[in-house]
Amino acid sequence: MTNPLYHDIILEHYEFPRNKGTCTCPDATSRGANAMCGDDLLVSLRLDGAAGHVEEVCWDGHACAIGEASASMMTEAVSGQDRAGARRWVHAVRDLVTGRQDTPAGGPELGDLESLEGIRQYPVRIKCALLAWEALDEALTLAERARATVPAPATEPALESRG
Amino acid sequence: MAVIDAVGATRHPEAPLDVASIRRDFPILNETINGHPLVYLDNAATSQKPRQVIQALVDYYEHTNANVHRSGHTLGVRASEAYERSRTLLAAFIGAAESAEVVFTRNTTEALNLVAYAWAGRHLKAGDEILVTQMEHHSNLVPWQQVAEANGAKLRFVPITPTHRFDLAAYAGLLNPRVKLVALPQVSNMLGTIAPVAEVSRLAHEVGAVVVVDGAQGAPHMPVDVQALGCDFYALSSHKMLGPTGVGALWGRRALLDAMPPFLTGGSMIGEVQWTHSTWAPLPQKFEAGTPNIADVVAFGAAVEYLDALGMDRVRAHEVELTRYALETLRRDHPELTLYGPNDPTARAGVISFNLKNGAVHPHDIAQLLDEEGIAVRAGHHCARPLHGVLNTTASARASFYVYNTPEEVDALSHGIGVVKRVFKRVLDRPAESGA
Repeated sequence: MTNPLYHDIILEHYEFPRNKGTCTCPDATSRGANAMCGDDLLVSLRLDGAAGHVEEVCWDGHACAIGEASASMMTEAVSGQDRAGARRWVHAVRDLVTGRQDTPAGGPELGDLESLEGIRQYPVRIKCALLAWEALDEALTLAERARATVPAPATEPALESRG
Repeated sequence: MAVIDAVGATRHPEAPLDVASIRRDFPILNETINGHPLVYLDNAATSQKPRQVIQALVDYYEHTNANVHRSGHTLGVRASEAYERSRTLLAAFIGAAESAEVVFTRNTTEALNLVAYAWAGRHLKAGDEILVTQMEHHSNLVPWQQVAEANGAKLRFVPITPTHRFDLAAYAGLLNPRVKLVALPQVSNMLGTIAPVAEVSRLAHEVGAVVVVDGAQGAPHMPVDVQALGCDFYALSSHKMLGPTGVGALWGRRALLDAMPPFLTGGSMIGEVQWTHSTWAPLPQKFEAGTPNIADVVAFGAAVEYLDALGMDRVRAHEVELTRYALETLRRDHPELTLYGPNDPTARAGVISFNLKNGAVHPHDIAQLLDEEGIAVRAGHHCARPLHGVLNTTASARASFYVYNTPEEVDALSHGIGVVKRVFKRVLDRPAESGA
């Protein structure tokens, strides 16, 4: 019998975590920590040069099954997404686990991440499920800020008009 | 006046606690949690309250309520008497030389902060040393970090032994004339380890250090006599010993308390107030600024009476037997458990922290699944994060017992851990990773 909270998909990601470690040459890293329980995740992110797609995203650290499975599923979900797409994922998962509907229609198809829906009934675990996602949100912001300080890539219209 | 004859205690000191009768005093034990009878094993976080304590709160608000130490009318006198009666009861309960040595605070944390600010902050100088243990709850660590930082003193740590006991030899080696303060828990809230406070105090006094005991996990569970412990300050919390939340107490030796400046200032704690300066009230009012938590202090008195009627020797004996049974049961049923703390149940209190296969199942997940079975345990670092580092883990699950817990509830815990193992079977069946 499948436990309502510990869905097989969650246990599978907990057992075989995807993209665990730190990515090479990350543009940004961000920690998601829960001071009350000692859980601590590090999300690292590298965007590709031109359009700012998520080229590689990894997580590392230690959390409960919910926290680690959520982090693992997150890396699969947002890999290859552009920054706006990755943010849509963050909002969609936040809505999923809190039961709110703050996101405009047209969010991503959640797939495996729907297994986190049961968390809604366990308010103290929502933070576990979102630990990696909040860190990703922060890492995206840091990466964007870092980009803003380097010369804009050649594909942008401002540079084309210069030629 | 609280009726305590109904307490589940026969008066023979050698007879065990009548737990069935005690359980009838705790209305919350009738709760059904997720379809199961409540098995409350989170007593180290807070204890449940008997109806005698709950009734004392109701009685106070229905028949007594007034401010203390200021209103001369009948209710004011009644409230002051009820409030001071709790002080007298608590003073006797812990063996204080006089009730004026007992100061009511909000909790153990505030009591320890009182000592940190009003004693240590005034006495410690650059180069002085503060000894604390590796077993410390954050409440008995962070205030000393603050003092050390402000005064230039140095914090040093007494280790635990490989069997998770207080390392008396290492402690003796750390003592020197620069040590001005030794802080330790009477009972570790994570390991359950009982510290040899009397010996610690004797050795500390040889080098002239003051001894501060965090009694939050001690006073609820065993007879406490501050004279026999030989310490200088002893802090405790009402809510861990059947009383209401919002009340703690600090006991200190009169000579030390008298020489200390106040911690908080304002109403109630003054002698004479002029425009530019004031004098302080005598003990204990000097340390009780503002209107105190009168109702909860009064109800705390009912909790102390309840424990007194049970007999703290018998409370301790009950918990030793329950701990012995729990250690045996869990070891037999679940050999993959890591059980922290000393093996000998007489060397520890009824606190059992554990991990499943070196943390392969996170304590949060253990606690979640136990909750679904109606079993309340705590998961996390239990406000003792540095200690978890020493034990090479980030968190643990913790079951902790009290007067109303039964061997059947230990069986329920063991069954619940079996449920956890079934849900996480695929993870637990995996061969251990190297370097994980």
